[in-house]
Amino acid sequence: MGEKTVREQLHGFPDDLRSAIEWDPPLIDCDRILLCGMGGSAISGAIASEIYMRKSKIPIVTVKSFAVPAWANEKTLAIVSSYSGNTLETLKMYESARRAGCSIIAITSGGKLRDRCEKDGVMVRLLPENMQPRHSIGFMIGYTVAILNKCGCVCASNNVKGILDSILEYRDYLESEEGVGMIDGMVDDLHNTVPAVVSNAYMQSIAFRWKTQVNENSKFVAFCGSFSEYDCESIQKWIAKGNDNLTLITIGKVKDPIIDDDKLLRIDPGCEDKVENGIKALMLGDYLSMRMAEKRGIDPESVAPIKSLKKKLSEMPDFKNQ
Amino acid sequence: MSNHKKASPFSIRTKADPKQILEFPELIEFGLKTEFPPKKSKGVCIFAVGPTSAAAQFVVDVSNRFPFCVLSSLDERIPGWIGRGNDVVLMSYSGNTEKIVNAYGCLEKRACDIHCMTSDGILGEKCKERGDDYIQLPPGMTPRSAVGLEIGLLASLLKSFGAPYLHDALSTILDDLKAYRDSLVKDPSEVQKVADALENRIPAIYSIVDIVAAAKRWKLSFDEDTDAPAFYGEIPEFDHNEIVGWADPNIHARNLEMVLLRIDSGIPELEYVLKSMMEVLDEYDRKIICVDFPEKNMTLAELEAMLFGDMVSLEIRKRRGVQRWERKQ
Repeated sequence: MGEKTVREQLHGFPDDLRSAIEWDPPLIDCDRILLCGMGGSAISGAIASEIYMRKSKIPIVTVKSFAVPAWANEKTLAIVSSYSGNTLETLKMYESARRAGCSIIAITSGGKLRDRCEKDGVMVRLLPENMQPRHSIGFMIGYTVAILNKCGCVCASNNVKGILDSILEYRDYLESEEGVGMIDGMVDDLHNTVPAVVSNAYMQSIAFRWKTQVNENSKFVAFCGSFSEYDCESIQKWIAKGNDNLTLITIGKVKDPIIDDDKLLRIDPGCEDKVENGIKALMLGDYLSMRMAEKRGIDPESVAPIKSLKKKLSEMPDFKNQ
Repeated sequence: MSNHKKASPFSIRTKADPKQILEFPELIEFGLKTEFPPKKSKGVCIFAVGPTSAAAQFVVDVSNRFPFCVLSSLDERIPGWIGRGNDVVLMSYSGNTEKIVNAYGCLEKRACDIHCMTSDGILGEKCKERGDDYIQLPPGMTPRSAVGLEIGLLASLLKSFGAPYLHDALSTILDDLKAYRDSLVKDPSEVQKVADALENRIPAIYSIVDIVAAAKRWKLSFDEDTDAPAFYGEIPEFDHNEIVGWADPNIHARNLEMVLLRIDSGIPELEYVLKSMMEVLDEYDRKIICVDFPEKNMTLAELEAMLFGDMVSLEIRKRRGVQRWERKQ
């Protein structure tokens, strides 16, 4: 099967999530969970951990580095995710988790990670091939939620299952004439500006997804942060002075003070359920970033700088032997 | 438990004086001298927002060396795992930060040990009333200036929980940090060079994930001093998405400058990743302002980076005549 277009992959997100969340992983006794991954894998982990943040009786910690923390041990479950299976940092985290004696479940489509897991007898949950890594997020979130549900001693996957029909409807809306018109209006607002995406802490992973999708699909610089770190007043003052190359985007319900609505894009799908609100905001950002690329006349799939970097990293010397 | 520890004997300047920010090493030192009764902890969660969050992030940056997990939170929601055997540190300089006061309210039913680090306010009052551990900060500082003291106090607190790494690491580098500060005051040419490059610009400050508190501190200081926005981010996550945005000419983003706080991580693979990332950005003609902190000790390099960023933003503030104003929280 050939690679689907970005639009087809976005369309498949709710179905990917629905299928992945039905997975019944093995029960692993643990008192801490590490979510190890970079890029799209890290975002999936952040979204899944956010869903469980208030319910999980054990700490769930995201790691985006070269090693797991010193406190990781045989009572720690490391969920190691990399779409390609060849992400340098993730492979290092896998090795580090092995050395620490952690239980490990890997989520990947193949690559070195799959090879190493098979050699080490570590469980692998395989992702479908021929996807853009960042668009495998439905599977990534679903599998991670399924594991957390089993091993985090809580039952939050019902929260996700309960919103699946609603997000299918939302997808249909985003692809309808009305939805496309709404998105195109936003694209016009964002054209030739730098998006600064700000949210409450519980929507941070969604704001981060917006930023990275604008980066990769639309090829724009973008930033994100939480209200407690970001000074919206300062951003709006800057814009008001005629420095017009920033647009402030707020995600989710906003009660924090914002000066005025000038150059402000408020994103709130309006759902009472926070998980549903977050997933819908994520979908909107995905479709929006794709339309931004189309408006610029560029290919949303192409990520030439990342490919160039990966090529350089593939030529990295083996430092262990130096 | 009621331990009312006062940090007030220290000769704290009582005005929003930029010189107070330069007392960063002395404030850390003072915090390190504070002793807490030893106790065991299974895990720690630090609640802090605004300028104070730089102190919390600094601790989280080194937390992978601790024997228990240390997390930070930027809002009032309480993780489900917090309960008996865990410790929570609530940080608000004024004691009136809404999110932190709300978090305190939510924590009252949990069986965890609560430590409030504040100068007073609602948080101080509630803490005293309930008899929780009250770590009193001296009045008359700005939240930003208090970060050094908060770092030292957090290190001492973690030491009392059985994690002496940060306390020990800080104790050995303070003289070097003071010498670094003195050298910058004596010869501010490097500070001025970076200020020249960033004046009337929007800086986006990046660092490796292990010292991201430094990048965050730069961002928060720029917010406060320059009356213009600033952003920050972390590497190697940058290489998985943001690099695509920065590789594009983005001609509309005419005011943006990418700043890289560069240290020697001691990890050959990471150094190779950084070198490769810069080569790729160079291929796309993206200019980066690199600020180097060549110390072999990563904790010292991170603190030097924080101090340097403060001096750059204060220099820009001086040039632009920006009146000091406190961020709303």
